[in-house]
Amino acid sequence: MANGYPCTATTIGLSCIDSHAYLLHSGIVWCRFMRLAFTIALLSLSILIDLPAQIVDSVQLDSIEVRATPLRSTIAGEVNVHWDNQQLVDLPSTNLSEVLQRSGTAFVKSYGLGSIATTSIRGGSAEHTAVLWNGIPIQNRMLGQSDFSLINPLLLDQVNLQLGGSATLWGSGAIAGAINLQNKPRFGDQMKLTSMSSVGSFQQFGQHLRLKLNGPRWSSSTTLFHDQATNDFDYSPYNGAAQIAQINNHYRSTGAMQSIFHQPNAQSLIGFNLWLQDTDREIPPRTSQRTSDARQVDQFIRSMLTFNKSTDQSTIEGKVSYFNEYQLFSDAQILLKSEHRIQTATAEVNYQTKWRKALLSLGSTHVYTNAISENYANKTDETRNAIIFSGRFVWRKWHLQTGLRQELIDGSLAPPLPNLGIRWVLSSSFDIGGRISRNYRLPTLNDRYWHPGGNPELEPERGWSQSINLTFRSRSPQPLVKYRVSVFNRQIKDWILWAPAENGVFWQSHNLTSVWSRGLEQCIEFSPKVRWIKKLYITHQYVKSSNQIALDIPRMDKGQQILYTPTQQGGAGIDLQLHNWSAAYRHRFTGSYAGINRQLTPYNLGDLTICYDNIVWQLPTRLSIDIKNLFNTDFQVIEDRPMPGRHYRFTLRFNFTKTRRL
Amino acid sequence: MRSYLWLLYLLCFHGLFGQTVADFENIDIAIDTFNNGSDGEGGFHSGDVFLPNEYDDAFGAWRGWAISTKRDTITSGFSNQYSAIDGKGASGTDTYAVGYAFDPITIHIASVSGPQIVDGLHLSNSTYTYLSLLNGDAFSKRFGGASGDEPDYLLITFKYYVDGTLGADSINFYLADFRAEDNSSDYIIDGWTYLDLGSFGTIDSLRCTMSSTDVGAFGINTPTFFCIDRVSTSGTTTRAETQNWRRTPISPNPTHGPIEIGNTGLISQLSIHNSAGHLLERHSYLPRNTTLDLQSYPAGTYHISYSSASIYYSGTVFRK
Repeated sequence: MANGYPCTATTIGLSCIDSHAYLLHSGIVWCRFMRLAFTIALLSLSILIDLPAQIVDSVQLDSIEVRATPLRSTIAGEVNVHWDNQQLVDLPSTNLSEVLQRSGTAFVKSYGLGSIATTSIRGGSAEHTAVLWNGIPIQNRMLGQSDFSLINPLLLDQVNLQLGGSATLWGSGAIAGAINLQNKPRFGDQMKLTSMSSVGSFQQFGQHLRLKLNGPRWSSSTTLFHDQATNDFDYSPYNGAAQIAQINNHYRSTGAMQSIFHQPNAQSLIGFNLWLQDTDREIPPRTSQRTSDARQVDQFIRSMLTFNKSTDQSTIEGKVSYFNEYQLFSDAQILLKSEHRIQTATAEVNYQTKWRKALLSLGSTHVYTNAISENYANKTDETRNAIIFSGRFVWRKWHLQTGLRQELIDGSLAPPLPNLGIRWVLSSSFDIGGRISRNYRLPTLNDRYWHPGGNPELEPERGWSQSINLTFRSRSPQPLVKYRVSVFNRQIKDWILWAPAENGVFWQSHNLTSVWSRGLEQCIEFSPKVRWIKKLYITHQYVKSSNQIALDIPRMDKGQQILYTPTQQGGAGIDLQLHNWSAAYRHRFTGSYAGINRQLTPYNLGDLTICYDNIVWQLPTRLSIDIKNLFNTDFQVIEDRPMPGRHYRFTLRFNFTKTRRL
Repeated sequence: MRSYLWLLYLLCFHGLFGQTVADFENIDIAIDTFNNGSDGEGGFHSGDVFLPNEYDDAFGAWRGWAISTKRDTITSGFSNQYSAIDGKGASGTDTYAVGYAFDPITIHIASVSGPQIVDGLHLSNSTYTYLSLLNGDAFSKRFGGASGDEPDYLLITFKYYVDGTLGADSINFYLADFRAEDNSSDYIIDGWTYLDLGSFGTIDSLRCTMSSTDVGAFGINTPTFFCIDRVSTSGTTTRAETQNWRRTPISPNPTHGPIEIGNTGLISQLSIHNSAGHLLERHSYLPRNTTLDLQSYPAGTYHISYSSASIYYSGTVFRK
């Protein structure tokens, strides 16, 4: 089930949990939290000293305590892709956008190395992918989207990508897909310290430390990281030009993640998660711009308390979270300094029970958001309440999952959001699934309150989506062949765009158009009998996402593909292993697509990773070299935002493990 | 009777033979400040011209024209939208007008003697536009591109209205022109430049439209701010043109109060200013052949501007 290869995604049905109560706070000083994180790390080390232990000289697989809320963890009839911590560590990725890119499941709109990266999944916009941390949405409430370049995959125990609409489960924004970042407890008697140090082109330097302390009833995971780079790569500003170095592109990110779980008894689990991060990056000039002094700072504190109590028949789970996020955009050249602070308090409760062959779940969620920005006329609040029902029924080879969500936004009822998913297991090799769901996206705070142009009267984007998935898996493990094909269709009305206001004085957000997205996704994966070839795969995506209403501004004809949405994408990869050596090659093809001002040219990219594993001073150690853009392709993902040519990163990783003598 | 004598005086000695220069120095603002219409007057009168302005109170945004004495020739970006690249008005004066023309904007003739010949005006880039053309910014390209070879231009096209009808002729003015084969001939206007518009003859108003080679799905990427100063007008010279003025769709003119705005479609915006340029009334979405009453105003000259469909019209009416 867990894998990280797009092909081996699962279509198993399951679902949700949620509920309410909220917190409200004033801001908390950033450095105090950083101090707290390092204190927790030190305390964890002091616990380690008391452990009677022995050095373990082999790589141990982590066992994860799974107390997921099953009805929400996967969706019947839809594609789910998973990456566990080991896969995330093995992938030479400094941020989640690289993981998504390599998987071939999402088109990542990257503004350059270290710069903003957003996604387009199944022809949706960046706001159509919900991003959750342990089930709580973390999209920027002002923009309605997430910057994946700020998410370090090494902080996480698992990443789940659910393709297709899942607004019933996750609420506003989960129109094209949902990405859930997860922390999971591990109980046992083990201490494990993982260190990863990397250096690379453009003065890239990274240091990651992860300490896991697991007891029979306690589980602690502390991760600290620091990444920095000048990212002064050379590029040609136009065809045939001499290369010049990118300027104003320094990047620095420091962060910490602390997860503590306590299991007072076999039925109960209490967890606390804390995520702190401070990222400061310069924003380089476009190729058509001489220079830039722009800079962006993103700081956040995200904290979450969870409680779970399970019996054979039922589970009750509660979550309370508080996020405090700060963003600064400044540009000395144009005397601009724009600061925003967003505080979000969320509370959820969910009750799940078995009833005959059915699993039923009823939950509620409450989100309170408070945003302070110079670009809002007033302090801006938003309250979202929701009640969610989910049910899963299994009858012979049929799995049926259904759900209904009703939200109340600032006192107004949102459209009810039903969904229905069916999976039919034809045989041990074949299964077929289908899903229909209603989805919507609320206007962001900027869409409603930005000064000037915010439009409080905006309607939410809404529509229906359908998908059918067929999966084949060969019966014999060697050679193993897996094939998946998905067809999807989605109509979204009242698509929100910014265009000149009626009086022409300023730009305003409007419900301007409708977009019809449909497409085909295929993936074939092959594990041959040849011992040193672990896996080969090929993926292909065809996405047609067409504007349905002719517009003057933005200029789009009826039937025209929406901006920054490639119609054709493909990928191929091979994983090799021979003795202590392993290698992986990933190839991506992205077809042509329209930017704001011109058509972007298609490009092929190849990434190669070579690893050497050994035991050094009794410590399992891995040395890897990652070569990105192997063929030195000159390409742009966003027009006038140059991307680096061939570049390298060397990583040294070692694990230090102590286990209690039993 | 006195008003007719006054009109005759104007026609003979001011309108027929005189030249009026709108230099905006009559608009009283402190040095290094601007008036973007937040006073709600709906525009600015100077000499024989009226520069309409639309200001949105809710959002503090404007379009049309602003009056400025800003001096900043260094700071790039939107925050410096009111400065001329010269840092002063044409001929070294303090005050000038800044146009924002993402959509076409107009210069109305607001002379008591009716339509005028616009002999010419001085034009310049705003600092915001100039520096964006020179260096590029986060939204728009540096002209010529990275190679300097790209044939870019930023253009203002002037057209005119007579009797509310858009004339066929046009005069182009390049605020930047990089189309020459020889890059050394490329230029960005960096000071006040006189443009002769006399060939349009007697007109009611001028329409200014900007176009650029840097254009995308969201329209022109280049900042569409430019500056004007010293708009020279001269009076009507022929009987026929005077006849044309009398055929304006505002009737009766002169009036004791009631007037009818005829020969139009639905009027989307209509404003009435007195001769000092003060906004007296503003209406939206008036029906065809609408009637207005000026009876509550003192005798004098009033400037009426309105738009109907894509046509802009400006004229004056005499309250007896």
